[in-house]
Amino acid sequence: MSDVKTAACLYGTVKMSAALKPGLGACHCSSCRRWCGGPLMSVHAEGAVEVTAGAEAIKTYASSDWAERAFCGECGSGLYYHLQPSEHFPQGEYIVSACLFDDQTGFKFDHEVFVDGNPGWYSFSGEETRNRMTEADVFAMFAPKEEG
Amino acid sequence: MESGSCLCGAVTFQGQRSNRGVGVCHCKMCRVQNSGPLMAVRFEGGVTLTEARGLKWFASSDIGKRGFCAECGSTLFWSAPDAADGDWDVSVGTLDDAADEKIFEHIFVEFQPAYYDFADDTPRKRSDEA
Repeated sequence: MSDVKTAACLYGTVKMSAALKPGLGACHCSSCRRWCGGPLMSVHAEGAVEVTAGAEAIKTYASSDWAERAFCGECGSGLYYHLQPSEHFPQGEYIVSACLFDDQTGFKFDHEVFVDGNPGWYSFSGEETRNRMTEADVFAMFAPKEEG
Repeated sequence: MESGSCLCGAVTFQGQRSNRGVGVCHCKMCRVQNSGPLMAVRFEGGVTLTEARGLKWFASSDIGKRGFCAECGSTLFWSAPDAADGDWDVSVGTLDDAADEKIFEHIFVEFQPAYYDFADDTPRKRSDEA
């Protein structure tokens, strides 16, 4: 079991904790960039995120059929992107804003998704060090398994 | 005339985007609110709100307040506390068409975490130089 890390929104109203999978990623899709003013930089929780304070301040927005975006209703901090339960993630998956965490040591930026959603006027350095996936690559990962 | 909106449409706006380019802020507050640096532009003559039912402001510090949509959580604007109405920085992701943009500077770079960097060679300014 990975170390559990704690996180908080900008005002500190919402506090969360989560065990994290290795690897930090950036999503360049237009929805993420409209939501948070730039690519969404996130880490993946192992299992669910535990809300330890401020649950009543958390609001969610169903941004697509397969996910909802949670944010703090008081300060506007994006909290997490929650992929709804599916064949691939029976409990859903919580993709948590990286910068909420009190301790970000050890975060390694190793993947980018929806790279074809990048408008083209910015890029992160070190692309060759990361797994970079287009929208089609991401959807292929989630495609229903073929019948055997 | 540029238009923009949050994810859900509860805040929409328009105005003339300046040709200054995109400023990228790496301060801790921008990053906590937005999962990473905030990329913003200026509008000549300010922002005109065409729908404001979702707009909520949060005073994040003595020097700034942040406008976001309380229905979908989209980050929209950054404003000095005493700025005139509409004299706000605008999150570039909320613009309906920003395909032709360019970064012109990075600010508050002393707060940028080590795990990312941008590939452009525009000026990097510390908080005391911004």
